[in-house]
Amino acid sequence: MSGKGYDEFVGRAVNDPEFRKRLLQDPVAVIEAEGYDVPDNVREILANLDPAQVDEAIRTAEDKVGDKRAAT
Amino acid sequence: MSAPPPAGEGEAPAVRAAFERCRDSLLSHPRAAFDELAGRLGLDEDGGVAYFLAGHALPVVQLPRWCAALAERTGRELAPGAVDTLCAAAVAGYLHVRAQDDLLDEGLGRPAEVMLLAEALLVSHLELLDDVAGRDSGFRRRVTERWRRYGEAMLLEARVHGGSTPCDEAVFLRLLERSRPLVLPGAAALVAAGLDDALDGLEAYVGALVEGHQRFHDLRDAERDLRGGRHTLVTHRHGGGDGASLRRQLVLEGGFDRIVAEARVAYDAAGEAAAALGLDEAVADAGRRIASMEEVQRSLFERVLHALLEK
Repeated sequence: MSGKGYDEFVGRAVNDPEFRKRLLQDPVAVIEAEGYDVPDNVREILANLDPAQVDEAIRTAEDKVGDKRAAT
Repeated sequence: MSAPPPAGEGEAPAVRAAFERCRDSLLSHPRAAFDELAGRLGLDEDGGVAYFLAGHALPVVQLPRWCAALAERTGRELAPGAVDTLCAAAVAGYLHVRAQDDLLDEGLGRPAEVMLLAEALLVSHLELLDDVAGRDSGFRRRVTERWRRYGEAMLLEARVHGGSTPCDEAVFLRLLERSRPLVLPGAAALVAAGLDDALDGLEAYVGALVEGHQRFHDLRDAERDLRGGRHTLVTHRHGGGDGASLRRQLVLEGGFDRIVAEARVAYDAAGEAAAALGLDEAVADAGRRIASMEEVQRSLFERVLHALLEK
């Protein structure tokens, strides 16, 4: 029997902070426990997050959601 | 008197007029310093429209208009021109704070000129409030108390940035007094309309609004603050290392989500306080802030996950 889909997995990781927190703490266990059908290479990436790659990804993302001047 | 239009494009003429009236209230020397400040903030390009009406900006000019609309819905009317006067008071009060804060936080501006400009703006702000709220003694005490607490909070912030006082949760909450003079032009509208009973509710709304706003603002500025050596609640919690450590703690270890959740609680409280007042525009504004903040959150994690998983 196939598990829940990969797109649903990514969508939940984006939109559900509690799921995201558990996923980042122990990705393999969470993927197994929740029954997601996630490609092996994605499991591998999440299980072995490279700090330099993570940092680059975050910096790139932050640049793209950057702020404008405003009355703050 | 017609009701003010909802937030957005309809507010632009009111912002431009408030900006010009604030500028006109100054004598020639402070006006030159004002123009320099306005240039630095980009206000000179469009009379402050983009700056004051940005979706994540505090509702500086909008709040007195919302309060006037509330008064009208309850069958009270302000004197002709009163709302425009209060919008100008709001701009003057805000720029008084901005000039001082930019100097203390980032060393922007020449200290002597900033000091004199800030003083001139405060005088204009008080005079414009008086024009509408008159000599109501209760309102005068409220004005004095708000600006006294502002001064105390600014001094506390100087100690925080100097490193002698850690910015923990209790200090963060005390520092919010810097933003609470925001309430005064709206409060003046309520007093002028005889709605004094609504003042405590308006204070509750503004208190919760500035808390939500500051939590999210400090989150978005966290890395810049860390680089600049400015201490905030976010850098207190997560800034023990370098920028990469801060980013990891915020994005991978739940710090970002926790702060968004805290800001959401405050924005929810702001919306509830506004609803209790019947301040419909502020209820809608609180909802927009939550939606905008959560869109930033979603977009950030979407980009991070896609960047990681595409490698």
